[in-house]
Amino acid sequence: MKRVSWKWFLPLVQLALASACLVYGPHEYRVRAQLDRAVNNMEYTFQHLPALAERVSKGINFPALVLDYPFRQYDNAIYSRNSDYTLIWISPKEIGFFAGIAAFWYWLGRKLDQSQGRSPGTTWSRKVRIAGLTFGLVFGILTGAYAFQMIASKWYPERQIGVFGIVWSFTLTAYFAWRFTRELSAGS
Amino acid sequence: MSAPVPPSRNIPGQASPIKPVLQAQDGTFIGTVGIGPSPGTVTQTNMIGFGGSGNVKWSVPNDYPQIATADGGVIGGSGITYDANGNANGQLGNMPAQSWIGKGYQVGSVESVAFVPINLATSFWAIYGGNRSSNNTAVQQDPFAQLDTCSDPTFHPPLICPGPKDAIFHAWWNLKSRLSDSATRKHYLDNYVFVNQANGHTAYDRNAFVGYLGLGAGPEFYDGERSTVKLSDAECGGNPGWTVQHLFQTSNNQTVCDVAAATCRLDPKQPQRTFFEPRAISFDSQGVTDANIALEFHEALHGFTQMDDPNLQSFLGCTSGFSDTRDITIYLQQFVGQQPPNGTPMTCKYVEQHKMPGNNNQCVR
Repeated sequence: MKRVSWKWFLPLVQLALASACLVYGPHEYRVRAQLDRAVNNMEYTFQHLPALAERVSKGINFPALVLDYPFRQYDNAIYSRNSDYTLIWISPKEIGFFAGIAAFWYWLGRKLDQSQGRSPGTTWSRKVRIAGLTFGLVFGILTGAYAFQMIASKWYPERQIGVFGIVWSFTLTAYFAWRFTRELSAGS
Repeated sequence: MSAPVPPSRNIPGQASPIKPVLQAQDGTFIGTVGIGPSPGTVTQTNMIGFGGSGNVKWSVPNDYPQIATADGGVIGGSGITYDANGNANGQLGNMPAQSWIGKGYQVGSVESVAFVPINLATSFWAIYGGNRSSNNTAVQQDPFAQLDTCSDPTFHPPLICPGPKDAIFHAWWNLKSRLSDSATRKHYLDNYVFVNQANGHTAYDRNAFVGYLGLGAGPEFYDGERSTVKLSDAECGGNPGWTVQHLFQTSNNQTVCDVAAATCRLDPKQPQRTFFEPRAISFDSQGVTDANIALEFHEALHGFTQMDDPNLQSFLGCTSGFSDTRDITIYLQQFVGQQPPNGTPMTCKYVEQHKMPGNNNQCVR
């Protein structure tokens, strides 16, 4: 039986999950607001948007959110459809997030495939390897900085997503620091 | 916005390349072309409409495009209005430029002039020069979208009166007069609205509030469903990356209007800035309904007192954090309704327990 290729499987699964959350999130918010009888209440809106589904999606994909950082202010809809069930809202911010998901999980899947011997690793020169690992280390630290910025927010959903970011930051920073140390010690 | 393909077909008498200028509501383009006896010798400029693939749809001699309108048409530099097929269907007087917040001004003048803001097409390039600053930056219109009004000459057919803008401005006007139209009403307002109902101390001046309502050129009322301005740029607070339009559309669907209004600029020294859900504004009695007036009163109090809903609820003796903020509106309605208050007014907590509607906010249209 042919084994799954992680570099395709992971991004596809994550993109499917994020798409589902993008559609379900506004519906979830509306239902919750209805149950809570929240009417004309901006404070409530700010404290409950995005809804839990989208918070989970953004948390799981926090590195993609970091990659999407330059687009975070671009919220004008390229496509929108507002129905009684939900609001589908596609803006450059969402497209950037989805592109980030595809890029990050492809990279991770490729690493997994290589570790299982199913993909021949590219042999880079030592300089390129160190540059790559430095980039990874900086990315891990920036992930942490963004996560702390979100945790300091006044709004509860932002803080929740920020917690995911801290976990991702520790994981990425630890991984790249370990690889970096190993690279340096192998060279000495 | 994708770049248009200039028409490949020669236009009779064409003497210069076609220049795309605006994008119409339907995504097609409006531009200019020089006409003359030989290439390079331009004796007149024509305005043309063409599709993305370069097919010429229509041509108008001796005019140039200035503003693409929401009905699919365009306003020429001459002030003539055209429909989506390039047929003239109206004429504006001296056409003022339109500022970002929809106030008209005439080029070369610093004075605002009476002006019905024009409903722009929602394309990325609806105004000559790209946006209202004419700095050739394509932005999706309209950051501060005007509420529709029946005095807008660019609607074809014209809107039946009142439009949402007319209705809410009628409510605003009547609120101003009702705030001081009788000694009884003044007494109630001074004792039950402008004094802190929790401690009986902190008081606001009713006359100062009336002055706030008339600040500048009057309040800024916008269409929340269509305003593409970011919350942070509109001074709304909340998640800075979101637009006003996104916020309203997430809360409101085809039947439910849970966010009827959002007042963003909490500053008593500047005019009230409120985004409305047009479908939550009642057209009954030309907009002069107790509900509209009370809603406007509620929103204006945010701007004047700089209090958000929980703090305003606390000030008026409601339950702070009560999720249905119609408690504030219904409480206020008894003081500015058509009939002045009579006897002891309801407390806001009484309103919360006995007078709240049974369902969420339904759109009135």
